Amino acid sequence: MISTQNTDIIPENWYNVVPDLPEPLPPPRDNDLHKSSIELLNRILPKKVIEQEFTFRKYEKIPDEVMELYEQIGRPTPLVRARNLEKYLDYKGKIFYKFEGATVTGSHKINTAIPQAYYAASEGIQEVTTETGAGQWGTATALASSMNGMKSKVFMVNVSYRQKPLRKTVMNLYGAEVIPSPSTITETGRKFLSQSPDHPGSLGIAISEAVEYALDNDIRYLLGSVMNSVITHQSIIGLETQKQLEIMGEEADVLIGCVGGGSNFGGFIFPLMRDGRKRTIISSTAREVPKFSKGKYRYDYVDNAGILPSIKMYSLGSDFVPESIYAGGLRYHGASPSLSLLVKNGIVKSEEVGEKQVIDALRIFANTQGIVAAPESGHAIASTIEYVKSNHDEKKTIVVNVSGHGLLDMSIFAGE
Amino acid sequence: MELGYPSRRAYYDGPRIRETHEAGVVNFNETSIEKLSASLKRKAEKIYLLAYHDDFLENREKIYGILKRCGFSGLIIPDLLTDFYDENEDIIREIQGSGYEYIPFFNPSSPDRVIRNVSKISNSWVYYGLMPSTGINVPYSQDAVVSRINSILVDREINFGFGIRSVDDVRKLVSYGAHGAAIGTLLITMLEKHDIDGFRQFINDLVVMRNA
Ligand SMILES: Cc1ncc(COP(=O)(O)O)c(C=O)c1O
Repeated sequence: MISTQNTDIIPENWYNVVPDLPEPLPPPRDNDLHKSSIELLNRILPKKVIEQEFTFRKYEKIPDEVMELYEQIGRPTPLVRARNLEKYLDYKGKIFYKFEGATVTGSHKINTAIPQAYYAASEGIQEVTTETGAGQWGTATALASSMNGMKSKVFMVNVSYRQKPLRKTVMNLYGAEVIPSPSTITETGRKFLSQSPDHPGSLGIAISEAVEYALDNDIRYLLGSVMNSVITHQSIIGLETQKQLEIMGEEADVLIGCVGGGSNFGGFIFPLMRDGRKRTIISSTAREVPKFSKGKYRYDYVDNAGILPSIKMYSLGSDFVPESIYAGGLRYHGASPSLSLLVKNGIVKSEEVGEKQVIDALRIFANTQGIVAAPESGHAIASTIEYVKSNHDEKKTIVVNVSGHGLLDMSIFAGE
Repeated sequence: MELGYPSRRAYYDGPRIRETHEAGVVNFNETSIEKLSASLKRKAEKIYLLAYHDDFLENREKIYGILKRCGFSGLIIPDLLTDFYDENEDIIREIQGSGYEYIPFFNPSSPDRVIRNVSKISNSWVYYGLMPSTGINVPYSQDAVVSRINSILVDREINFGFGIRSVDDVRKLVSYGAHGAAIGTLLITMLEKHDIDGFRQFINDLVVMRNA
């Protein structure tokens, strides 16, 4: 067997898709006539992250310190041929999965948390903050901050805070302070609590709280998804996959992944699209959050309070309140501008998967491959199974990105 | 010299210039633009009108009328290549077909192939925004931004704008290979303060720099 987990697999540069897009990416816009929320980013994000947000450079060197941490947290992650799943589905082609659940925090989120925390720490920042829904992003931020010698404060959507006490424990172990959102420590939080003391919270509210807290305390905020810089960091997924496929002598015909804000999917597909080869590319979203089919392609708020600049994306509206599905990471109302552009152009197909189908897919994957995947990743697996069923006699090579493990989300199987 | 057609949708301008648009929308009339352009023409070889896409489409006849009567050489549409990219070829052909220059407006987020394609179908100099919006400050490397566009568009006149705050900024841009620089927010600030001396000094410094 050829090892595809040598650290040589980790690329030296991240890849930024923006200069390679078929159309210009509509830039962010200010929300207010008299103030610039774009300029405000200087007080919210590490400088290097802002630079990467607007850069024209296709390749961005991964700093040595970040490289070392990437190795510490388990990169490169494995690319595995899912032979048992192929047998189970009686598929004539091949299925590979890239397993981001193999990182120590259990998902791809750590890929961007590390560089963002590193850049903040290099600027002399001592504390960072962020929001978390399902908990994966908060977990990644907590560890990345500690590894870079900083404190972290995580605003966790209230429902998840109550439903997932183990997530909070992990974040605490990694050194973060976890606060249920809406909270009493920000104006945004107090406003929502006064409307309803038992407010369930939402990602949009939690983002606003974290950004407000960062501004009030002159610390920095880490971005979990959606923005260009995050997707650039996540390109490590696709860059590694490409090298691993080369080592195995394979070429991908079909790429499948799940979409919340679009970071694991964009990071996975963009580097693989560089060769211009014709492929089927499928983004799998939650049927309960139909951003690509029912959302509009327009400028919309990133956060609930509109503190961050607006961006052009498929959006269901920042006040959209999704059903509470297990795949908390897919509940975001929008999707990254670069991915939205490719969906609009038909280069990326979108598919919606309901929760029942996700649970079935997770069972099949656990049963055949031994991996309990995250509910978010379950969408990508469900779309893969669906693709194989509808294209049974094709002999294609499918690569699916499994963005995380679901060992802390087992309650999804409780009712069965 | 560039004159802005007042807009309620000046999305790619920063807060200072947006405020001037706001005042412009209220006070705008064609006589004032005729007067202004006449006095600008005494000082400038060529004058250009900047209009946002929707304003251009909604006031097409009027804008062509202004271009003609006031002797504008061409038109800049800052949001055409971002929000209305699908329409770019038709609009560029129309403007050029009517005898005016179309000035492509790019920024660091413009993809390489877009810069190449649009430059091919347009025949004038190119306007390059150093950052996503005017008058705001985000970190970037001027040197790298200028060499990027120069390497894609060899032998083309490129003028830079957005975020230029001082004669020193202009000097640096020129040393990196810029042909010209657009100055907006800085002048608005001087205007608001009635800082005529500051303005004179600024122009003098520019002239000294050019002649050096
Ligand atoms: C495991 C996992 N997959 C996917 C996502 C969706 O986010 P994105 O679309 O940014 O990758 C999340 C978000 O929390 C997640 O935790």
